[in-house]
Amino acid sequence: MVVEMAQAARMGLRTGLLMLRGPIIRHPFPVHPQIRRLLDEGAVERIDPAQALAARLVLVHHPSVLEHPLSPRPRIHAGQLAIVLHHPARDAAGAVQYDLDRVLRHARMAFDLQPDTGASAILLAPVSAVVRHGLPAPLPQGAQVMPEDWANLIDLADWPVRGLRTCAEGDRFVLGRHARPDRKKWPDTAAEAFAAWPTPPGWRMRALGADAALLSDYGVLPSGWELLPFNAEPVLDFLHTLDAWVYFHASAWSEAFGRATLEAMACGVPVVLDPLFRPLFGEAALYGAAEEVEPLLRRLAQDLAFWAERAAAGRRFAETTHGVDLFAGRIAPLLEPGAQALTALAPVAPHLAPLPDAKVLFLSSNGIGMGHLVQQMAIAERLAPGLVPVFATMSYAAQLTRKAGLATEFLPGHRNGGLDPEDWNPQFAEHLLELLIRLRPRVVMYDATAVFEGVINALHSYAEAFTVWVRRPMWQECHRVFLPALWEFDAVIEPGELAETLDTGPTAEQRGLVLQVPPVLHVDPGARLSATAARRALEVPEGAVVVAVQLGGGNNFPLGELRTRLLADLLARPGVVVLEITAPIALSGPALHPLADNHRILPLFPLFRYSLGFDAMVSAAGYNAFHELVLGAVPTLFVPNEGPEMDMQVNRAIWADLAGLALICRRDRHQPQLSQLLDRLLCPTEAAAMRARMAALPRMPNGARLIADYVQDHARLIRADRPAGLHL
Amino acid sequence: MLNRLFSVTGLGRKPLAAASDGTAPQETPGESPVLMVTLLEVSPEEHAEILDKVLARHGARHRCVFVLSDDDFAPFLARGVALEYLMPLDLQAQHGGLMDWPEYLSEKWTLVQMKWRPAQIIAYGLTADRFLNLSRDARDGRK
Repeated sequence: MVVEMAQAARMGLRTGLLMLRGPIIRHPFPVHPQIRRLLDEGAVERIDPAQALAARLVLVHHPSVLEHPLSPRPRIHAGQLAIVLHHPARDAAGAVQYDLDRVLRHARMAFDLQPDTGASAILLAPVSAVVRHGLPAPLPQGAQVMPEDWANLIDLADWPVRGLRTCAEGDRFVLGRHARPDRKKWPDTAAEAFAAWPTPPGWRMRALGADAALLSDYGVLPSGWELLPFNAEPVLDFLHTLDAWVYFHASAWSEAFGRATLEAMACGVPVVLDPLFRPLFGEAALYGAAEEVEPLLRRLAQDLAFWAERAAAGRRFAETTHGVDLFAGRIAPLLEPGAQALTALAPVAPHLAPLPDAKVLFLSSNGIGMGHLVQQMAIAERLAPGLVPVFATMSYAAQLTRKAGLATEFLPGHRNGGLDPEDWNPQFAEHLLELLIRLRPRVVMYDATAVFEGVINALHSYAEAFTVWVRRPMWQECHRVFLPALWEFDAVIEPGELAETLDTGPTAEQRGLVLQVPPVLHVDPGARLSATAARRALEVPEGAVVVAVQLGGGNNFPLGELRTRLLADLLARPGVVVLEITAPIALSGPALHPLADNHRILPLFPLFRYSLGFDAMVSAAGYNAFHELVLGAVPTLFVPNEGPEMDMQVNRAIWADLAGLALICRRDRHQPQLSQLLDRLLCPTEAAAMRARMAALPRMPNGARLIADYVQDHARLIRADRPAGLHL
Repeated sequence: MLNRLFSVTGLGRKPLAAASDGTAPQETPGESPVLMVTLLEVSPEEHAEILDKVLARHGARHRCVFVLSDDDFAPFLARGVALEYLMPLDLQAQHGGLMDWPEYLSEKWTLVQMKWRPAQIIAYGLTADRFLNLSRDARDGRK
């Protein structure tokens, strides 16, 4: 599809992309990076479901997206409508993969077709002979099948040929395969698999998209097999490591085509396949039953001319039968009748109207804290133009987002007035539903550890938003009760955790079900004020040793005694200025007063913006502060809040200490050593070493940016993944 | 008004039974009645004084719930009272394009009353009705 969209742009066609969420893949994958690149480059234009438009040709990719009625209904007049059938209607075992009659019915519901022209028939474009042969005759509802298969296309420029095999390689031979990690993509038995991918001495087998768990029924795997997770290597790089490509799958599976095999051919890697594939790849591949594979491979390994001939045959096949230039010939005959049908139906606007605004509701829990709000601000501030963030929070720090100019609604939690959650939940659901119905957000981003019944009920009742639960890792065991809530959201996103290796909490069990992104930072390290500018803004004297202190804590983990010791120690050190940072919004506790001339108390938000002006920091190890300070290379003594309801701050701090990135002071363990810890923190040599280690951490994009991109893609989404109507 | 979709009763309180003569429901003996105090469009500088006055006069015999149009909740949290919030008129105007705030807030006000079932409502600043009318007027003026 990416190849076709890029080619359409090269042909001067204007292509719109309307994203659908289909019923097959539950995992919250982000949009493929190549599709995103086309959108970013303007080769393809994003379409909003609310936009009314006309298109000479509408291509619907994969019939499964029409298994349910499209919701909301697109407002698209289609001159011609073609459904690209990427999969047979039944698999090899006869199991129904999709109901063609239903697919066609839903296509007619979804798109406006001109009934009085020849273009009113829905066209079916099978991607291969396998799919074509599986079509019923006659086709239901007057559908017409395209005369030629719409085989997968490939842009040869993206798949350069690997070098020729040489004598120097001797007996070394690498065979491989690549597929998504699905057991059906492997032979039924170990005997068949071990025969298909033999590894005599000197040979290796590399499988991209597999792990031992996937193949556990095979028992002990050959030592020459190397299993690589899906996407562990760029596919092109992977293919260039191979001398031969071998592919077999389960007997019950029916492969419509073999995109991965075609890519191997394009790269000039000789291919050996199950004879089932002969109708697809003809003379371009070698064929044999599993036990016949090894002799074929031996010939390839030993006969350089034969290897080169097979490599060239594959490349030639890719070029002549799947080259991207075929695209123009495919769609040209459809565009003209499509244009005529549109003329009869409705005038075609010369330009697409701008994308309408789409609202995104950021919903969060927690009372006193601000962590969830700050994380949501990090995402909201990075949303694409046209996406309008609105906040609704149970946090008493609601003014944080309001002061940032964001619309903010406060919906009190059950602790407000000491209410019984059983009574509060339905009330809250009613309040939230009222907001949802009137605001009509396209996406709801829920940021919390606790998922309340009231939240779930309101979201389910509204049902018109794509719902995302953003939850951080490092849960305590007491939070396990919230794990099943994963199934109540359309997607769960887990911001990255530097200390992941010490995350022993319950969410680790669900890591395969969530979208993981790099750590979320409110302020990018590169967006901080310079040291000079920060010190000037903070009015700190030149030459002072600046230690910023933000302990957090509060009622759930009192730190008064530690604070007293800490300040006494620091303030007694010559040349030290202590900046004690209070929450930007005073919510509890008595006002603090400076204890000395070199003690200043100030609210500072966002604190990290000024952090280049600090020589060191003493900080709680909450998610936001921890990740900002470590990735911003600020020498820090972490004082974890070990309150029972908190995330595992202590493990974060331990990890940083063990990695030499920071120091740790646990309230109940390390106070006697506090002075020595501060000596180390303020020792220039030790601080420089910590800085260097932190600076050497792998650089990652800001997870907030990736989440914002994810929101953008799901704010203009058509739902095709669930039945329509109410289900009582 | 939208139909209620969830089974809502007064929070932490059993539904009050209407008296047989049709008069207002009565509090169960021993349960503190709720006093709802609205401070709509009242300057935050006056909050502490009002809070002290209300709690001194009614705190012993009532469960006090304050309805604010300002989001500086600190003084109220310090006294441990319950809070509700209605977005102030200036912010409604600022975010007027997002939704029909007067209709939403009118419904929210109804829900807040259902939630707490106040025995009495005291208004400092604007009454809720006046606040909601001004909200509607401002919306209509913007159209």
